[in-house]
Amino acid sequence: MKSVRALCCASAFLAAPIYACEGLEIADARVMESPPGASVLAGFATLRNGGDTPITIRRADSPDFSSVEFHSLVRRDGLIRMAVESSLTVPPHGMLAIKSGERHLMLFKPAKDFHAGDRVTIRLFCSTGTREVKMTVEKNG
Amino acid sequence: MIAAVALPLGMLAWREQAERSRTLASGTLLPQPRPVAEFALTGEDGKPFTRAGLLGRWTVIFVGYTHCPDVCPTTLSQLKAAKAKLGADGARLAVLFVSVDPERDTPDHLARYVRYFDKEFRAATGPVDALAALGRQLGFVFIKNPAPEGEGYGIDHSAELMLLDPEARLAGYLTPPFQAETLAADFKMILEKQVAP
Ligand SMILES: [Cu+2]
Repeated sequence: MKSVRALCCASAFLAAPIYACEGLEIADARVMESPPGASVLAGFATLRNGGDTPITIRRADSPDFSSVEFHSLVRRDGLIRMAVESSLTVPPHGMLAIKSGERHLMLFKPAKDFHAGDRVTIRLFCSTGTREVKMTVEKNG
Repeated sequence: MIAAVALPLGMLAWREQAERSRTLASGTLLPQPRPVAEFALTGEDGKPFTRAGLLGRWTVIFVGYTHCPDVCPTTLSQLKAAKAKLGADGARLAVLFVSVDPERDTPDHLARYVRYFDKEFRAATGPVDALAALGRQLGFVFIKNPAPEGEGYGIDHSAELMLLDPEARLAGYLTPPFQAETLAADFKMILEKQVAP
């Protein structure tokens, strides 16, 4: 059992080299718990770039969801609209807040009902590779 | 002596001002509440939801759809928190989630959705025509927004909360961003009829 686990982690490590998305720091990564049977969940996080060049995240996916999109919320003429963004860019020595009311990771078709305390895995694809993020499911409000 | 006189006068002036402008911390009350005509939706219990469902209590209406991952659950959570702050008075305020996505939001689905937030919350939806007609009365709009790259579709929708008085008349609006504290203060004011019609 132990050797299987070691093998799994070693290969995961190879698939996600530590230099991927170099300079990228991720804080407050969380997913809001939703009603049972919800077809979409929202993921939030604060991204910081400690490096001298912009970090662009071109796409994301997850073993826990059918797909992941970057969405921003636009308020215009009293309407709230969700818009798909093709990528996320964190400016050099700057930050990008993925926060409620502004933008979210749109997580489609959860593999199961996630509850507060569960952890989901999201993979972010940067030009230098893949960064895996664990997001904790939290109660809304 | 001067201070003792000034205080009650100041309070009086404040009350008059509040009654004239009919403002709330997070919205506005209409100068004259507007009657709402009959409408035909279906409730989360599968039964008809009509104008009669709005009588007898203050109702706060929020328009959205359950495939909305951020704004709708956040607003419903805030409404739950605000209602909880009212204590026993919270029972005098109904919360109605009007889904503008009848295609996906079946009564069963709506029931599970709103009860997750609060067992007392109600939900209703209906044919797009009926929803649009109610929107014209209450002042909300919605537009289906197909996402060619993404999965399914989204619906752009109004984000205001609509306040209806116990006679099923549109009494005012609350505008986002919302906070549970301010919402609770506004609800309290309405229930105490300090500025309500
Ligand atoms: Cu979205």
